[in-house]
Amino acid sequence: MKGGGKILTYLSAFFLISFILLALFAPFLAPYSPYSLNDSALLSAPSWSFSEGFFLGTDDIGRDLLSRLIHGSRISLMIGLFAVIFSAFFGVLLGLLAGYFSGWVDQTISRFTDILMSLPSMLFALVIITLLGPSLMNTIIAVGIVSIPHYIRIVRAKVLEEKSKDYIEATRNFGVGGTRQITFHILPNITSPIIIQATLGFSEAILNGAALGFLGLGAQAPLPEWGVMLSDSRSYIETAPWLVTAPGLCILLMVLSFNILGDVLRDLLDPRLKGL
Amino acid sequence: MVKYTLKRLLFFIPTLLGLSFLSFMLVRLIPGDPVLLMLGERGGSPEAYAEMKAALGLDKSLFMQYLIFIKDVLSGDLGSSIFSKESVLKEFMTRFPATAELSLIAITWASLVGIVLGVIAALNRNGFIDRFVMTLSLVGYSMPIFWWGLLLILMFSIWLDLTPVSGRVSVEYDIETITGFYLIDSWFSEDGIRAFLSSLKHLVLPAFVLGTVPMASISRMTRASVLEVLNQDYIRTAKAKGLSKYVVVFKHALRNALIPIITVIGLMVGTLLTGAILTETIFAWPGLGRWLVASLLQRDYPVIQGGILLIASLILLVNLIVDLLYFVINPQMQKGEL
Repeated sequence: MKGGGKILTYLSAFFLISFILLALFAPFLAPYSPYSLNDSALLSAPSWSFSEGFFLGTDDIGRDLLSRLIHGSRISLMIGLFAVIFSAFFGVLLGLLAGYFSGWVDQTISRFTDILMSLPSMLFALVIITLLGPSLMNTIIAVGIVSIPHYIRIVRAKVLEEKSKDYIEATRNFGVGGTRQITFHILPNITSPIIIQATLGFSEAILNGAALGFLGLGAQAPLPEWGVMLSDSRSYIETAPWLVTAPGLCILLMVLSFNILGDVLRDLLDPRLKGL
Repeated sequence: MVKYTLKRLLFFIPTLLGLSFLSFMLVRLIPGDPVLLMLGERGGSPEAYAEMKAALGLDKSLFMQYLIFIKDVLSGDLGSSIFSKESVLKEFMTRFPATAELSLIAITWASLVGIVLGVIAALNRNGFIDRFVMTLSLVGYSMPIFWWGLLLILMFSIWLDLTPVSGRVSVEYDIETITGFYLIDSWFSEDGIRAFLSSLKHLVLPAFVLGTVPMASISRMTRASVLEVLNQDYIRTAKAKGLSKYVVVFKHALRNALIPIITVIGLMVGTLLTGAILTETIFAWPGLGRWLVASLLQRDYPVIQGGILLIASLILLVNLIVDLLYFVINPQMQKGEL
């Protein structure tokens, strides 16, 4: 990680662990339910105290902002996690196939990848959302599908590189079959780039998911999704600036933490790229 | 060069066909009956239904439908909006200049600042300035720009009252469309400089927001590219000759480092358009991004279908041009070494 060294790495690890803990124990940690309305406290300003009022204030229908943010970390991490699993699974599978079997299998998969990569990921996610309709589930699918090509490209290139090495030739001479060769010999040797891509994929998925929510095409209200919360609070930007500030800061911190840790991982796992 | 161009053009065609098929299937895969959707909630009489179905060509086989769609697209007919009844191509053309103006200004500042920051960082490798610049660029790169835009509106428009919140120019100025770029067209309006200043004020914040992510990537890439070049033998030779640090950097290193940087800047048209979708939504900027989002929310299928095809073709076209330009500026490729 070129740009801040250890302090930044520790800071981002700290933020990330905090977000994960908040997400895991949200119902116990959040002072209120993210959906409970308080008629007596509409748009109340942050009290900055846990003993009275609402720590980070309330929104236009009196929901506690802090509680919604805490529950929101669940949604964002969920979008990241499931989208990454989804895209890594299909991406690695297709990448392995394309790299291992040359010929028409490779040609078909590679052309398909090229077409998908010619569209910016957000635009492509919007197309998928149009087909599936806006919802949290479909956000995960859309955001997941658009990252598949990254994995295909990386895995395919790596497989081609490994395939030509002596040890694979050796296993072939021992009569090891194709499937076994791929899963037990090639795959374990190409995990580093997949892990790096997955970490960076988290931040992309979270950012795209929040953007879809913000546009009204992702998760839907009343879910406490950070992007949705931002878009709901736009009309109160003058009267209740805390509503606009807090959710975005959460998105930035989460995405930034994943990006920094992704860089650190890259330096650790792939020293050749260090310093660039 | 000719061979390479032909190869690129040959790839252009299947990609376009793939995209056209994608956008063609889009309208046909949506759950529900598009005919009923287009006729509206009440549906209308069975005759109206049959008429609409025939008008949309949905009574023919899927393959025939696709052929007809391709034929229409090639003759410039992309259908028309359900709501405004305007042709999709015309709607695209009226919104295109707004996005182009915004994107051009955004990428210009992003490139200038990004390259300067990247060079400064590379020259101070691992020093305090380097770390500071790289942290800054990491933050920029991770920025949810829809939030960034709102924050800047809060600061500059609401608290400091310096810039307007939305639109391209104040309503009091009447700007006639000549180029579609308000920064140019405003000079020809009755109010001249005042209209120009108004449109400039409207442009500053959205262009700043749109350029943030590209600026961050450009500065990171410039740093990497300059560092790589600085490690090469001819730079060592130049240093050994006793040339000053600045001559080495600006005359020798930067020149070569710039080639990959310029290419990546050119290929950022996709990033810009994605950014424009969010930026235009926040600033009510009447461009392509906002048009697309509005159509998606209204489920205006002909516009979505045609709009995506047009936007994707635009990206492909710009990428193709950049690729060919890369060929022109990089002499190694002309010799067929790459």
